[in-house]
Amino acid sequence: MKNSLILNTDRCTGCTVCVKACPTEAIRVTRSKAVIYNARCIDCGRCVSVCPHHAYSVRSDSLDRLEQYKYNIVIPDTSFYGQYKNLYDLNIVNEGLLALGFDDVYPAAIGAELLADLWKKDGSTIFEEDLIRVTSECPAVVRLVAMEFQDLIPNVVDSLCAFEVTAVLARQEAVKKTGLPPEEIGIGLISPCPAKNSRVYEPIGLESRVVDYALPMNDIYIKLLSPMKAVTDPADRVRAGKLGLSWGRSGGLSDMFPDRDVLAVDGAENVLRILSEIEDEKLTEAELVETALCTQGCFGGCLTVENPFTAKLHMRRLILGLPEQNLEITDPIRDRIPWDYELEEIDTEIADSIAQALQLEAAAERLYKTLPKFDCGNCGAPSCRAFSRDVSEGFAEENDCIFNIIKIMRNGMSHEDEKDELVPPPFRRPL
Amino acid sequence: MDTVKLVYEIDGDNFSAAGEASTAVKRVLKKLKLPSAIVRRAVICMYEGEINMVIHADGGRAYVDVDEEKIVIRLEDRGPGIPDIGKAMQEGWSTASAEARNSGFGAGMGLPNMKRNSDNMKIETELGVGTTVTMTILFGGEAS
Ligand SMILES: Nc1ncnc2c1ncn2[C@@H]1O[C@H](COP(=O)(O)OP(=O)(O)OP(=O)(O)O)[C@@H](O)[C@H]1O
Ligand code: SF4
Ligand SMILES: [Mg+2]
Repeated sequence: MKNSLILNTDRCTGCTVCVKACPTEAIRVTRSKAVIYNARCIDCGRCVSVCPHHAYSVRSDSLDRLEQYKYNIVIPDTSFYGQYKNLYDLNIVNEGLLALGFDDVYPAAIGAELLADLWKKDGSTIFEEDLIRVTSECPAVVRLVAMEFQDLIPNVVDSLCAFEVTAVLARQEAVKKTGLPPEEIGIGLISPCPAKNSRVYEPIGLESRVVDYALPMNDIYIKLLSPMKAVTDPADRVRAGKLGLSWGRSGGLSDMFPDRDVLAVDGAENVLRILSEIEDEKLTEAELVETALCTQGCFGGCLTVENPFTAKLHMRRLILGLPEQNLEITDPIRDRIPWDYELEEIDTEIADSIAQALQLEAAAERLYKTLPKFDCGNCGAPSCRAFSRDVSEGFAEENDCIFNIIKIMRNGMSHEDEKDELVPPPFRRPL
Repeated sequence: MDTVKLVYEIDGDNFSAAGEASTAVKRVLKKLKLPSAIVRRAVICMYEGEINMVIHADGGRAYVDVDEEKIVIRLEDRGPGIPDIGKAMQEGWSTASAEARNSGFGAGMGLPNMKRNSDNMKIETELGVGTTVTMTILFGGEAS
């Protein structure tokens, strides 16, 4: 699978900030530039958020894509509505989007509400006895499970993302309404992150793409500012109620099942920890774990504009007057939408036998013992541990470690004073 | 045959750090292409043993050796020793302090769990001197 991150090498200074921030240690710096190891990348976009030089961008489409279709529908991710200050009506955003050239707006909250209704009506579609389920709304988490927690694949809730459900429904309704063939209808997602973009470009468990293009949220945010000002009397296109709209923030699902043991976990470090606890059977008290890789869920996505906490507050205000629930899953809808998918393992290990894996790890352990464990990052790896593994796998050399270089320099000097002068203060002899 | 050798110092009485060594062991084991059931069993053995050293023996040292056939976990402490191994092995038997119980330990399930998840478990203990628990998990083994 391809990821959706693009590095602008002219901007990259090789500073290693992204190397350290990456939750799956997928980035190294070599020859002054960052390199992402695709196989280890889950597309969360932390690198995009932390890069001080704004060297990362996200593979996505522009509004030019609209020209390729006769009829265009846009799906704003729920987090999109939280980006605007002083907004009092969701439909001002929707109406503004029409002014940008879209023919209709289907908020992702529609799919969310339908999924939520399905789960509420039939608990067996989400809960399973003796199995802690992990939600699949965040594609970065899904990829993390497939890559690093393969034992938990059965735990992942096997449903499409809310935006995918929305897209399937939107296309079917548009075909009916316009009489156009499905392929002449273009559907775009206003996306908060590379993970959702990747999911648009390469869906899991669907035979073909259901969303045609992905638009970066920060870009659409700006383009919408002036059309929104011109909106006077917007029609209602939200369709969903509070239930569907409370997704996108972490905890939205937990509120939906007040009588079940649902846990909401957000932020990369926390998600890694909780998955690990489920894997070790240390977590026993939950039935369902709602997961989002970003802090505060998709409000924390790297393509958002507003800080996630404020965006959440905006959202709270925006849904105040709305009904609890507006949409219900009906059999025809349920039958028309493919709900289930199969998640496949992603193998990132380079060894192909236990013997080889042992050999690599033994070599890495031996080297690790000799390293200073400063995790300084000068070797271009995120930690001494990761560096040892890189060396054993042949991607780096022992003397890429600055401390090993200093050792060599010291050894080449005959006088101790001379040695001390040459090396930085921490490596000089004690007084 | 290559052997991966790991050594961890386990702090006594630091309940919030308890489990760190087993997390580290797990990270290494997951890289070794072992069947996931083996990894899980080893991590459970290591975790329970590590916790026991923290709450009953003021810490100690853990050695983990992995080769192509087995994982051997050896946990050495200089704690009070176990007066009656038969009793200690019973499910539900525990001498954990109130403090340890408040932190969620002390159900008396650790040693039985270690026994169940290893193919071989040996306890050597001497009152006032310390305890060494050695567990072996065979890759071709039968333990559940
Ligand atoms: N390393 C040790 N040193 C001294 N005593 C120990 C040690 N390990 C276990 N014991 C004794 O054996 C008893 C039973 O151990 P076990 O691990 O089965 O239960 P526990 O530690 O008390 O509770 P749990 O493991 O369920 O949290 C302990 O309460 C303690 O008295
Ligand atoms: S939490 Fe939301 S924004 Fe962040 S990676 Fe997951 S899907 Fe994308
Ligand atoms: Mg115990």
